[in-house]
Amino acid sequence: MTPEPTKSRAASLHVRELESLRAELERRVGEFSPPRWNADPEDVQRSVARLVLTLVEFLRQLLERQAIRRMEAGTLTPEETEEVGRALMRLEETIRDIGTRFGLAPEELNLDLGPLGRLI
Amino acid sequence: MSPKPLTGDDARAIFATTDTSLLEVVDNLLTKGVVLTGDVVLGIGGVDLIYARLSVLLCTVDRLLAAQDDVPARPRGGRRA
Amino acid sequence: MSEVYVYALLGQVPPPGTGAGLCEEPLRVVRVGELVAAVGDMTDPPAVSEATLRAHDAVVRRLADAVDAILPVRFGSLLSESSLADLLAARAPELSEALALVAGREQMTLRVLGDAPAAVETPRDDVGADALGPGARYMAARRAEWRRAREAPELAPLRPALAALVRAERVTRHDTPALLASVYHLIDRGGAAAYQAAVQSADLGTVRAVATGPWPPYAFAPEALG
Repeated sequence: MTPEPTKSRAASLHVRELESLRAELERRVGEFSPPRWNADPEDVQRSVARLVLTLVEFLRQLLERQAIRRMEAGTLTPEETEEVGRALMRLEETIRDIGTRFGLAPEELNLDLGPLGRLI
Repeated sequence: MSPKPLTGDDARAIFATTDTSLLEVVDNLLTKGVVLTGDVVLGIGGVDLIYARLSVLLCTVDRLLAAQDDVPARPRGGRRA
Repeated sequence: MSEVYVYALLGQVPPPGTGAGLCEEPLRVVRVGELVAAVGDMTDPPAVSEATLRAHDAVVRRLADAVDAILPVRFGSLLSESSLADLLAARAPELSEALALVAGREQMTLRVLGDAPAAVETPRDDVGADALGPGARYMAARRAEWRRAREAPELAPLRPALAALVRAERVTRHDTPALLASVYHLIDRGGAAAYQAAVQSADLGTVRAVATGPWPPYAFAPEALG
């Protein structure tokens, strides 16, 4: 392996493209500072609901992803696919409904989970 | 001591670079590679109080079952989180 | 309490002469079965800066030059030696598989640049949709979305030239102009010049592809929940 990557006759990025790469990296790396959860003392119930729903949504996505991987590997039967799909749909609805009751929009359930957050 | 998050002067310097090789290094080292640890900060009302560093173990069920068949049982007193 | 800072996972103990770690600390290994972790003893994690990032990358490169198979570890991975040993034992099958994939190989990073992503074709239903229940239809839609997020159809004209060179591929889609996707290709060591030649001679129409490398195979860590 060469000591440094060579780009000698390779094309390089234009300014706009560099900007785009930089912005994308800044966005992704920024998400990797430690995720924080702060209970809002003025509205503890809503803070707790937000944390709980975010974690459940994270688990839902984790499960969905693993189910898809099993579909790709051919190790999920049609019956299992139907059952898992229905459960994930209902879980998604449930999270949305409970969120609505606490005045939480789906976009608010986005506690960034650091390196784990990019699993999906 | 918790690791300093990528903020402030160091972050600005890194993201102000026009050196694409540095951006590639950032991509490789901070968004790729084997993930062994994660951390989380808990607090109240904007005041960070607890920093927890986690060793990350996420294992699919089929791998776990395969591993249990092959590997002799290890003592499970480990501090995993 | 002293912990270990992990630079990379290897398939063999590296020979002496790979130098010191990013804090000038001596490098040593932690072994669990066939897996070897190259580590340095540290009490605090390094701050993130250009200097520390480049120093960490330099350590990984020196290790890569000294061994056949290497899985670089993410920057900032500091943990107790016993936790590391536990993780290596539990994840041994997927780590060994990943090491086998990257043996003798290195990474090229290809940025796909343009103003608009390739037009998304409406996927044909695999089986008549009527035959599927609601759960299966939901999973089919999710799976189609999952696949689209991992594909780079923009590279179609490049595929013939790359077929002989690329051993594995990982795709991250950004879908924001000008950066549409990042594609990571695993090639045999020494193949970078041929790879660059292939990339530069391809006509991709409205998009551009710019390649850098070779790099140690950072992007070929086992996928979480492999």
